[in-house]
Amino acid sequence: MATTSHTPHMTKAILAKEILKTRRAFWCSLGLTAFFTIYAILGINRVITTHGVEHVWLIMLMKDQTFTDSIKYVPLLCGLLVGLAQMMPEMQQNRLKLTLHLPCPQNRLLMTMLATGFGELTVIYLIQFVAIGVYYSRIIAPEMTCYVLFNTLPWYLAGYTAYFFSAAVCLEGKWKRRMILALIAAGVVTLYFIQPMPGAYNGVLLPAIVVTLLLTWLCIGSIVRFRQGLID
Amino acid sequence: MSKLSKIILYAVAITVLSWFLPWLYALLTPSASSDPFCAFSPISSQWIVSRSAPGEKPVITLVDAFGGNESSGTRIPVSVRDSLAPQLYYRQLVAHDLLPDTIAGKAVSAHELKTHEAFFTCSPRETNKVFPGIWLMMESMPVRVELSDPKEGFRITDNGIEFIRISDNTVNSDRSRRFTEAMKSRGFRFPAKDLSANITSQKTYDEGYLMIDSEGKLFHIKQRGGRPYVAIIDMPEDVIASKAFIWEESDRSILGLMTDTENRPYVIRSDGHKAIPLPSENGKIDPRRESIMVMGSLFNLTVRYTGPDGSRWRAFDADSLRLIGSIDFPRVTSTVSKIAGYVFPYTLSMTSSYDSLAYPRIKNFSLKALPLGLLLALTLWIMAARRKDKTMKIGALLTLPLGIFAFLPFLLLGDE
Amino acid sequence: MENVISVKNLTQRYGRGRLIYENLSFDVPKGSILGLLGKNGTGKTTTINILMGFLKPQGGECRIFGEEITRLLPQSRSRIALLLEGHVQYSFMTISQIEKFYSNFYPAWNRDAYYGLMEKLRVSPGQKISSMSNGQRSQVALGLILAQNADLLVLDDFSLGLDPGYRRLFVDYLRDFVKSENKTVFMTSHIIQDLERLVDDCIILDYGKILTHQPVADLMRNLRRYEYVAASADEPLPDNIEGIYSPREGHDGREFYSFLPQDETRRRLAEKGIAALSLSSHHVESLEDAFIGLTGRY
Repeated sequence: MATTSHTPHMTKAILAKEILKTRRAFWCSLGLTAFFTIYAILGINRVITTHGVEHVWLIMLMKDQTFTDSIKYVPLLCGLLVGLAQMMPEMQQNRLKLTLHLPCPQNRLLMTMLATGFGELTVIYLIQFVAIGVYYSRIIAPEMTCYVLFNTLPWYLAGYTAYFFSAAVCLEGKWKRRMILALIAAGVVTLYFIQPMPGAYNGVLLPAIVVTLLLTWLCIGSIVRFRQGLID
Repeated sequence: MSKLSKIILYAVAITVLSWFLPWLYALLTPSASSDPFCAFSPISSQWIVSRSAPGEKPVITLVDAFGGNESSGTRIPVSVRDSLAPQLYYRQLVAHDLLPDTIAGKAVSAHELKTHEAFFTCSPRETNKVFPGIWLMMESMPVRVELSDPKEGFRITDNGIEFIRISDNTVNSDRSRRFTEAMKSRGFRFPAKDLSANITSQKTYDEGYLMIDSEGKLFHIKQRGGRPYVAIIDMPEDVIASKAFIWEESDRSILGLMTDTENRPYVIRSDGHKAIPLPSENGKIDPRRESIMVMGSLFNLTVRYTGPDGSRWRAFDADSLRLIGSIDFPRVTSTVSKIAGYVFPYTLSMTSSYDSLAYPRIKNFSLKALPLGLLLALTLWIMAARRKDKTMKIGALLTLPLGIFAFLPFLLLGDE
Repeated sequence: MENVISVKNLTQRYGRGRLIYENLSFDVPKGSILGLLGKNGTGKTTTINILMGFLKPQGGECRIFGEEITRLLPQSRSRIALLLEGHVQYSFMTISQIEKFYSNFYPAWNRDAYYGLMEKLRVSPGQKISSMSNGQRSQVALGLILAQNADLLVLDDFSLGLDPGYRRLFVDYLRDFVKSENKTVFMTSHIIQDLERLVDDCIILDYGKILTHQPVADLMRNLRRYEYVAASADEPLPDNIEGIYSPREGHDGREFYSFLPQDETRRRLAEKGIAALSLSSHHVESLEDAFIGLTGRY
């Protein structure tokens, strides 16, 4: 009788499978992000052509605008998209049972899955973040670029939050609890958008990052409940 | 693992509810704030307090300059108000040909009143804003008559001021050096603690910046013909400036306002660049927590400080800045929020009308919510005992202090 | 003989409601094929869920390879092949991608077994599973199960969606595979004909209880179909008599099923005032007849 233990090639296989599964959602999200980022940049370019770059500085410094409003909800959308694309198929036709039957420790398995989605989102967010940073650093002072970039961070956190919550909602087996989780998710995500002033969240970013990462445990909770047979 | 996930779920749920339920409650029970509007009459030296509710006639009361309150005041009609506060309602008086030639020993005309009309506001929201660390510098003596949008920005470093040409986003070292030298030669110690300017070309003139240096001295700095203009503001001895506000008002007599580290307010006269303390009992003002509104006129300066506890109005003589009137309006707790006190043991809000930051603030602690908490906790305990549910029992214990915010999640998320 | 699956006093209800079964106990010895039969809603899938650790039983204990199922080690999991209603896990994969994926998890992976079956499917390795018919997908799932080369096969409704030819093929294939390699199988199916060719033992579940648990051969030998002509039209049916199953009015008289010998049956009928003078005993012809005989026709 051969014995197996969890080995790197299992993690690699799961990773490859998750990437394959979310491939479409990933490219969609990336396309969406690229579209809105380009849209935002073209918008600034238009302001520069019509009113001069001075106007951009003036509006940014005096009117608290960062010209990035059009990308505000895009990371959130991406988080949702990737989360649903990754976890919804698991919930159809007993697939999660088959996934959990794989001879791989349950939490390791889930964490590998979540890491895939998290990583994909990070790639998308990073591309956008760097694009905005590079573009802005050419036309505004570094302090202002920082100011603009810091202002986008809560949006990315909202995206990750949406991702983890959508995963937890999908993996949860009971409809009633799914609804409640979705409502809580809506509440948490809203918190990242209630104060539109640039820099408003700077002081809470670190705790917010910790809370966001802790949300992975919500998915573990859903799996544990699934294991106990708490399914509709 | 599963325990931690439960803790996180309940903690998140309780947090969200602590914010959402009070917010929802406030949304569903809108209460019009009935903050009064005051004017100080140069004729009768009394406060004219106007309260208006939507769709109703304004209630106008004449109240003594000091120590008066609305209930002991005299109700007056609108027409009387207009003649008692000509600094505000001179247009109406002119229309009815009722504007006298002299008021309080001063010759008046509509033009004169208009010239001295001045208005200033500043809210903690503005004061506490996050600034990127770059400011704009206007040209206060433009070649053409009208002002134009700034062409350069600047940053303040530990050693000086650095100008950046906006057009190509590069440092203008020449101007940087000239300003740094000028500021240092006037005694400015870098870096700056506070800066205030009103950057817009939609104004009649530009006074540049009021800047507080690292030692709390106040400077007036502007760009004139591309060159630095730096003047130190004369302050009473031992006063350390904390916040400064530039005020480019129409008659140019007041340069701005200032508070010191003791939260005492000052008016900065353009004439002589002097900071003059505003005398008043209970007149301290923390611009980081309270908003300031100033109405200037030929006769007086009427100042309103509004904070979480209510609003305070002070009137000062326009020439001597002597305190000539004082009236306070403590915040009245509305019935709606009194009821909320019985339901919510506390509230959580992420935003505040006093700043533009987002962070959790727990407030409105209410012991009155304890009975409801007890009731809900008992309900949950009984349910928990029936179901032999340990989590729910913990929920019952948490419901005691956290009330409805803990009750709902433990009720709804309890395992079947 | 070593028991691969051992279930003791299993008790399970739907939520806090209807009892599915109480004190269900059975063992599946190594090398045997056990079929779990029952009408819809008698708890077949529930049992599989419990055995695979997807449902915490309300009472009782289950062990697989001697390990408590809720704490089954990944190594032991790799020795169990699981098929749920013919579902393939990932329809976004192609025939070859899914084979490659699973091969990473199972040390005894038998690639040839999988591709051997796939050849019969007439699909190309690059074809996506989502573009295949339900039956074809079931076949892919079965191929994966066989390639896993597991010691225990748990098959829930394996024949769902398969056409008769392939069902027959698979049943034979499975039987050879199991018998030659001394594998153990625990399976349920809607199509009892398939089980007859395959299973050694069967458990027949009724609502709330086990009807019988015995080798299929014994069941076929011992279960009898009885026929008699009623004395009068208003003579009652032999309902509620212990040991007598599914009494009904047939075309040529009345019939019921029982494991009891004829004398005993006659005695029990007489106790209820049924003379059944023409009582005749017949062998059941198939496992399906036996199943319907025991569980009734709804």
